Amino acid sequence: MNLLILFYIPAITAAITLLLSRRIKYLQEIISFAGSLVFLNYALRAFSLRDQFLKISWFNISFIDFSLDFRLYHFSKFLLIFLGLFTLLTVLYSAGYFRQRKISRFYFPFISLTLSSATAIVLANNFFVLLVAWELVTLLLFFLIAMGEGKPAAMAAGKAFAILGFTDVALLLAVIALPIAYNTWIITDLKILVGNPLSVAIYVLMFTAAIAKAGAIPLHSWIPPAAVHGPLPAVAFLPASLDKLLGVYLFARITLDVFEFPIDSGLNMMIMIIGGATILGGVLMQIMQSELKSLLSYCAITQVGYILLGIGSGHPIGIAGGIFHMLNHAIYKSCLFFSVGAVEDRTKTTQLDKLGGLATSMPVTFMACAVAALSVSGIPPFNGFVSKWMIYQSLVDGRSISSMLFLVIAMFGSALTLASFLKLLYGTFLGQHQPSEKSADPAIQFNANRDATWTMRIPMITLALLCIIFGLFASYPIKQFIAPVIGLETAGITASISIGTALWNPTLATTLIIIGLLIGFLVYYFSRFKVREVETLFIGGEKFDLENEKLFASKFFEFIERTKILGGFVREGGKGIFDIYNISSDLGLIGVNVLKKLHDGILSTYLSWCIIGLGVLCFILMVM
Amino acid sequence: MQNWLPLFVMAPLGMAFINLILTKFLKNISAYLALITVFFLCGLSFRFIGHEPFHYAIGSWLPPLGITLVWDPLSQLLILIVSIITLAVTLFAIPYMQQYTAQSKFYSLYLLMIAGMNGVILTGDFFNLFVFLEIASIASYALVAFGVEAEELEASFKYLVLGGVSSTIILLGIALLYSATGTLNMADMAITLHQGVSKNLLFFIFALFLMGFGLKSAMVPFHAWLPDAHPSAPAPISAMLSGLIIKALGIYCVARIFFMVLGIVPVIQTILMVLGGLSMVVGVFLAVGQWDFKRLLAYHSISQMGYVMVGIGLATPLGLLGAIFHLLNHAVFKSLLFLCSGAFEYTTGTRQLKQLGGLLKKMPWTGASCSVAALSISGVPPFNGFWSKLIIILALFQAQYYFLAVVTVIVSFMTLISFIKVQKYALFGTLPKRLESIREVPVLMISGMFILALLCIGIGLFYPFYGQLILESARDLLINASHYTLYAIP
Amino acid sequence: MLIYFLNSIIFVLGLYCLIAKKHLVKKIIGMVIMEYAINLFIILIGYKDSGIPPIFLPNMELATFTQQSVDPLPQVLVLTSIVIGMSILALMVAISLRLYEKYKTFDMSEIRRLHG
Repeated sequence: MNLLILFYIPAITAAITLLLSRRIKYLQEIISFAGSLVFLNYALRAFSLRDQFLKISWFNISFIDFSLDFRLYHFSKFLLIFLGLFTLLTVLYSAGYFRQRKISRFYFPFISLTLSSATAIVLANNFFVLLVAWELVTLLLFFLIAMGEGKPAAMAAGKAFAILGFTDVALLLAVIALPIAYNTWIITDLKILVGNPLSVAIYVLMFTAAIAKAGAIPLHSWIPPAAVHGPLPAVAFLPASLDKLLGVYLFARITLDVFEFPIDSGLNMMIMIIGGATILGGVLMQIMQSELKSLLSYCAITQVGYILLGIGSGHPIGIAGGIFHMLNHAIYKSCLFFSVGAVEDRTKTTQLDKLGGLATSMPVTFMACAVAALSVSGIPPFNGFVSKWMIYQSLVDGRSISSMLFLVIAMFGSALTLASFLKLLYGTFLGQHQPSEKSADPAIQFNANRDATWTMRIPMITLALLCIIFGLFASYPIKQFIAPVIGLETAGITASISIGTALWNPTLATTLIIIGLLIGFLVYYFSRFKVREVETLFIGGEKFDLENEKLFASKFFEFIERTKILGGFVREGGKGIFDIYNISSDLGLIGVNVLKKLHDGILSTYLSWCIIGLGVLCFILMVM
Repeated sequence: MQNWLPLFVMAPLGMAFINLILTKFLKNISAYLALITVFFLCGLSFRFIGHEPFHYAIGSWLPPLGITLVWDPLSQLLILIVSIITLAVTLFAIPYMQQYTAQSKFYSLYLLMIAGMNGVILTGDFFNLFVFLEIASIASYALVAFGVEAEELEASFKYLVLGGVSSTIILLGIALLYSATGTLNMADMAITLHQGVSKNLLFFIFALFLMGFGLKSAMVPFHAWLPDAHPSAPAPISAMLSGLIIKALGIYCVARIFFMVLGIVPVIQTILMVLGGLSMVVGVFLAVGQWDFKRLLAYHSISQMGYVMVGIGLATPLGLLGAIFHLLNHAVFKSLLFLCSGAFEYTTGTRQLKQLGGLLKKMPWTGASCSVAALSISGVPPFNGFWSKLIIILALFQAQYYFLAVVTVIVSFMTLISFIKVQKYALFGTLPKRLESIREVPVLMISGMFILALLCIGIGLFYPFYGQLILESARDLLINASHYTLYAIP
Repeated sequence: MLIYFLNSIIFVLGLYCLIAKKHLVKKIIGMVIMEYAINLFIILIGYKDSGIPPIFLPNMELATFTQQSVDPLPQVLVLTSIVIGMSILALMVAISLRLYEKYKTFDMSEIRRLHG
């Protein structure tokens, strides 16, 4: 099988859909779906192929070889499958989501093109190819986010492109330095021992690009606005899943394959500090959100912190855990976004205050959301638990004060994540049913009597099932997908033994949990027949009016804002003080204004610049 | 074939005057006369592609006494750029200029400008270069003021005074060169200068030319006229000024004179790189703060010319290739951007970014072209701007100018920022109520923009097909600049 | 040498007038003075003390002619340069008249709508 076919299929799909009009219903959807299905088929076939290389020469400019190198190996194999899967589910979901909404005719072509470029990133064996495809993904993200509604979407897209563009430029700088300093930019030929300043600079620049795509602090601030204002399936597709996969892929690739760290270098510590900071900052912001999509987007930031902690620990189990967490995160975060999209589709709002009691009318969405939410909070037996467990193990194994500190941070983050998702589940699906606002605004139709359409339900169910399967049978994906990546098989028996002890053994615990659930179900089943009594509530001697005194989920954790130190951080963070985008644009504007003042529009000023310039030139050339 | 060379100058020059006479009898013919001329020039330049370098003695007066025209890879590149861009711009101008009166005068000036540029590019004689430079400049001064509104006149006057000063300085330099060598033929002059000349005089001439041509190519601190003049002209002329004039009269002259006549020396290279670096940074900083679309583009011209200057200043094979490549790319995308700004102004009546929005839905063709050009200039792959910037940065790394490389990359990022602003305010977002009735621009305008948009995509991707023939040959000539004397005089 | 020095003084005077004077017409005059200084300089390049006109008459010897005659080329150049200068002058005057119509002032430092 030619590797390029993986690249061509989505490109051809994009080309076909680009020519099609949106007038004929479901035509673009069907072709995109078929395209991603074919891609998935080939990706599955590629999984059983041998590792292989492909080189297509293009052109040379002096000593630099601009050829296209590709390489298929275990890491790319399993990523390809998931790229295909996520695209397939996103297209399916979009078909339902954009059933009544308007979307640009470029939406489906761009989704396919994204798949094509992501494939190029995953298969690239040449940093130049990787760079081009990497920037293409950024560009497509920009267009996809900008397809959201109104000016906020355009602003969010601009912010995303600005931050990612900055880090793309960093990647460009690093990639360009490679052929100059090391004579090649073919990834498998590079083995850089981190030591001299140049190698550190190259690593840091590449690392910056990787974590910005993944969304770690301090380069995270593009995600929340993009998630809130962009079209939801695109958000679930790119920032929530694909960008994470790609960012972590690059990060893992450079950390594991290309660069070799001397023992106890500061870089590991740097990665872990960024990871820890991301967990703390993300989770604090996350818990304060009262809007579903922004809550999820901050959660997407928090989880990157775990991945960084895992891979940064340098421990094989931690690395495996980090990569596994990347996969799990993409799965459950897509699922969460999909379910929030289903809620939005029915209720036309994502404000926690306006939602409630949807569990009865949207059971499938609720179940999927609950599974994913428990999974992200690290509750056994779901997949999020397994990968977090592996990361904790690696931190415990670190046996130093700093790693213990990070362990505490990680656990604290996990607890707060659980808290915030309880808030989400309660506020959206449980609690009281909110009265409809039909009379107030005819645009907001509270049409929550039905669950989402099947095209939206299937992706959610699939992802929720994956959450459960990857949790219950975690050893399978780890052995199949992840162990080969970090070379655990080749490392010998000792390593595989250590991974066995570190792994969560699901059998016993799952049995216990299932028994517990069964008992709970039986209790519920038998108690159902009793007539429940409703009594008037009295609180503090006064009658508690259920209708007016609602318990707003969004007010759950308001107390954090009132505490002294944390509250300050959270408040300022909400205003965007820590946003690197705002800081740098403020600084830049100072320079701009100074220069603008200088250009005062008076001809004599301009003339004198010219003459002074001539004088300086004469002075330099004739005197010096 | 060689005898056709003067037509590059004679055809537009003659047509400029014939046009004025013919319009006395036939109204509305001038646009089509201009179009025919431009098509002819385009065809002619394609016929000349790959031709061996040669010189053509005007009136059979042999050089060094007579005036010569010289065809070589460097002029081939510039002639090609001029022909293609003018073709697209003329297509755009035909519907666009319907808004103005006195169209026949517009087209005459326009053709004069083309004649001036082609003359500068082809001539092998120093004083002739000055004359053509002035023809092109005077035509452009008049065209900037073509709208005769207050701001246009103001811009034109400033441009006129500053341009006039630079022309006088250039003339002084030419006079000094003549006094030192006793000849005006460039190749002859190069030979004489090679035999030895007072170093102080040579450096003084360098300084004069740096200032003179630096002003024509809008290097900081000689740039102040550009952000006034380029936005004030009608859109097709803005496209010509930013896309062609600053290159043909500025960068090309620097490359030709410094490399082939005076002989480049390291201190001049350093100065070129410093000027280029300064232009990049100052231009982009000013551009970021603009809300007037055309003014923003004009500041970017300064910044992008900085890239080219840096590449030329490097004078390594890679640096020169990057500079030449960027010259070509900048001509394409900056003309396209100015045409798009003109199309937006044509339909909406404003060029303030804050008053625009959601135009991509109403004007898909213009919007898409604008987006392509914006991504090109901000150096996003796979569009052409990416490749040339990549090569320039590679060259800077190779020559171990790490600081300048980082500056270049940061400037590239700031360019991206400011074009994100353009896209998010003009193309995306919501359409203002006032603009709900706008429609797409006429087909001819679209076709002009479409040609350039296709070029933006194609130039980068199809480099292997034409790179050797057009770009690398010009680069090789600049590296072996002494070859100029082999074919430019007998 | 003195004459070159005097010539450069004219040039600097023109430049000074162009930069320091605010009045539009004075700026134009300064510009013209500058151009004339350059033209004069070009003439001076070809000038020879007690030279003869560069016309080769039948009864002359070639060697003495080339020694004595002034260089004809600068004079030709100056003619062209004067024509160019004139066209620039005409354009400047035309634009300054229009400018006065629009801005109602000749003060160039007040004509600054385009800035920043």
